Amino acid sequence: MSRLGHMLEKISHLLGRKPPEHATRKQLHKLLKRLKHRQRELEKRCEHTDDAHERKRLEREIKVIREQRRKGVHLYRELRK
Amino acid sequence: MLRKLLLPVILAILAYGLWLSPEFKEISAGVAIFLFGMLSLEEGFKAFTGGRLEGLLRRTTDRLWKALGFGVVTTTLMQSSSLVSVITISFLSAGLLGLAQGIGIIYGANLGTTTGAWLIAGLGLKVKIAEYAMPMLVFGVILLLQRSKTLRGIGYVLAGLGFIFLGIHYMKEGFEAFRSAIDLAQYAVPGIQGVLIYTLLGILATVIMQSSHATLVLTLTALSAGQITYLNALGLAIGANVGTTITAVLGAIGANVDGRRLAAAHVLFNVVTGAVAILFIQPFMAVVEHLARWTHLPAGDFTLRLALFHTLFNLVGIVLMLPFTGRMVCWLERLFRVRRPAVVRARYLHEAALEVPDAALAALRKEVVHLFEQAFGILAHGLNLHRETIISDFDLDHLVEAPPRLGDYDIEAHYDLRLKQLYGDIIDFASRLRTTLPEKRADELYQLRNAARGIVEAVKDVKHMRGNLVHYTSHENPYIRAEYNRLRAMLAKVLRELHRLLLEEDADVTFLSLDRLKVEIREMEREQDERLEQLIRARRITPLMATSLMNDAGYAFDAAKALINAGQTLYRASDQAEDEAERSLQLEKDEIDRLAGGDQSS
Repeated sequence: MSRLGHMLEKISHLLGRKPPEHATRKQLHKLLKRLKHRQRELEKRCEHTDDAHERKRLEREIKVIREQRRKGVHLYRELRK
Repeated sequence: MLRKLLLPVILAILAYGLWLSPEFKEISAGVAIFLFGMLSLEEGFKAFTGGRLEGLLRRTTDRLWKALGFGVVTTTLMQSSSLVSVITISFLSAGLLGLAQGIGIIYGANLGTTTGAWLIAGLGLKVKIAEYAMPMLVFGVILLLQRSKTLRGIGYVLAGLGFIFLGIHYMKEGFEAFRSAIDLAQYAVPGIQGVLIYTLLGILATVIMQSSHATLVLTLTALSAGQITYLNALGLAIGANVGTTITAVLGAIGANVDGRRLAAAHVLFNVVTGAVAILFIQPFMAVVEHLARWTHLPAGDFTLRLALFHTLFNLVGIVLMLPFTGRMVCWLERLFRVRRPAVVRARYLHEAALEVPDAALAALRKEVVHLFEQAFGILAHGLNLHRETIISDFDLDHLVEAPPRLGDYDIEAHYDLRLKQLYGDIIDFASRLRTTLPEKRADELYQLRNAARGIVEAVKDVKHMRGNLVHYTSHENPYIRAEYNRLRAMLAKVLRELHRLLLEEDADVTFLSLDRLKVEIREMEREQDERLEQLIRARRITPLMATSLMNDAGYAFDAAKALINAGQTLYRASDQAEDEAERSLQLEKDEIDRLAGGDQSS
């Protein structure tokens, strides 16, 4: 990177530009909360449904969200380090 | 040829003027700074158009009078009728607004833009606004260096206002200095002849600067410096009003038929309003004078009178044209008919976009979504389903069991007509873009090209299975019929989810929810294998049916996977960080296989 590039980066840092990882971590946190909320909602719906087909669909979705959350929590911890 | 010559001629004249007169230099620099400020202001407001303005537009334009109010308020706030026109055209093209509502917004924008003259005449020329320009520029530039889109937007708005104030200051100074050197007022033309000549000059100036605000501010500063007469200034204001339609006309060249209709309505409104103002200039002046006395305007203040005149004739124009809006819509719809192109071509891939990587990639993304839109219809008909059925909320598993329509849908002919050329345009654009695109963005380009290929291959897969699909969905054997219907329902579900994700932007369907669809398809694939074996063993279907089903299931699952992958590539969250976060949680193939409970080899 050129000297000018370094200088601009320092200036932008001074001016409060956050590194991209920070933004991603913040969004990841938001996304994980959203997924958790969605999972809880689906679990409630699953408890109350009598339709086997619908239950299977909901369970599948819960399973996928759980896996995505597991992956996300791991990544979030990595980013925090 | 004329267009090529125009720019060098204007530049040469400007260069000569700048060399000849320091006052002219100051005025021209003022205009340039003012125009730059307008661009910056527009850029700033664009930062806020990602959802909020659109949402507001949708809610507040369902009636003509509401649309009119929306035009007035937004243009007053943004001080840019061009930006409002452009957003209106884009919404009209997307079918989110009717032509009548669009016209209402344009009427309102015309009235809203007259507030600019009030601000300049009331504040700009009376207060030393250059003193406010400097802090605005300082804070504006600091903010526009920020990463946050909102702060950057505020930065552009502040910097834009700073430049506008600075521009007005330079113009004012220039005209003041000009007055001591040369008296332009001696070239004033009296009577209606003067109004006509200065109207033409106003049109010309606005066409060249592409900003009626710039023409108005020049007129007001020249008027306040006594360099033009009041009557001639009125002519210039009328001209600026007519000339401003050039932005809409230029914008409509590349727009669809709705955009062209709206631009024509814009021109019609401004020309009629201008003509009325010229014809009744004396009564208008008398009313302005009466209102000026009534509102206690100082006797010699012609700039505020000009602002009053500008508002008044636009208001009269709206009152005159509003009752005829319905007729105008009918007339415009007849004048600009929708011509269904024989062959579908690219909508968004223009030469100009190639110069800016971000714009080029955004255009390419939109075009691939357009390709999906076209493929959607072909795939729906290829599956013997209606497009509307797939988009609806009905249960697809039940819908596919309805007696099939045995139409003679020629999927190959539709592919040639609606996809082939469009796909060709995408490939051509992507190849040309590759040469100018920075290396780090190349991956994005390849992904978009692959998404386009996936969509086209999905259509080919359905084409391959269509013969058997038509045959077996009306077959007397219930087992083979059920299997083909399952494949139809599965593909229809994929199309429905992708339609909601990409075209409807349904909040319930997200990038990550497509992973659930992937797991579902993987499960279906496994279940279908098991069922097929059972059907063969129990001799429920013939070996010929079994081989057909095996081949066609392969096509169907390939098509579904290709479409989902294309959907995940094409989806973009509104925020880059959000997009990155969602993509980081996307499940890998082995994770999908594990969740689907199948093996990992396939």
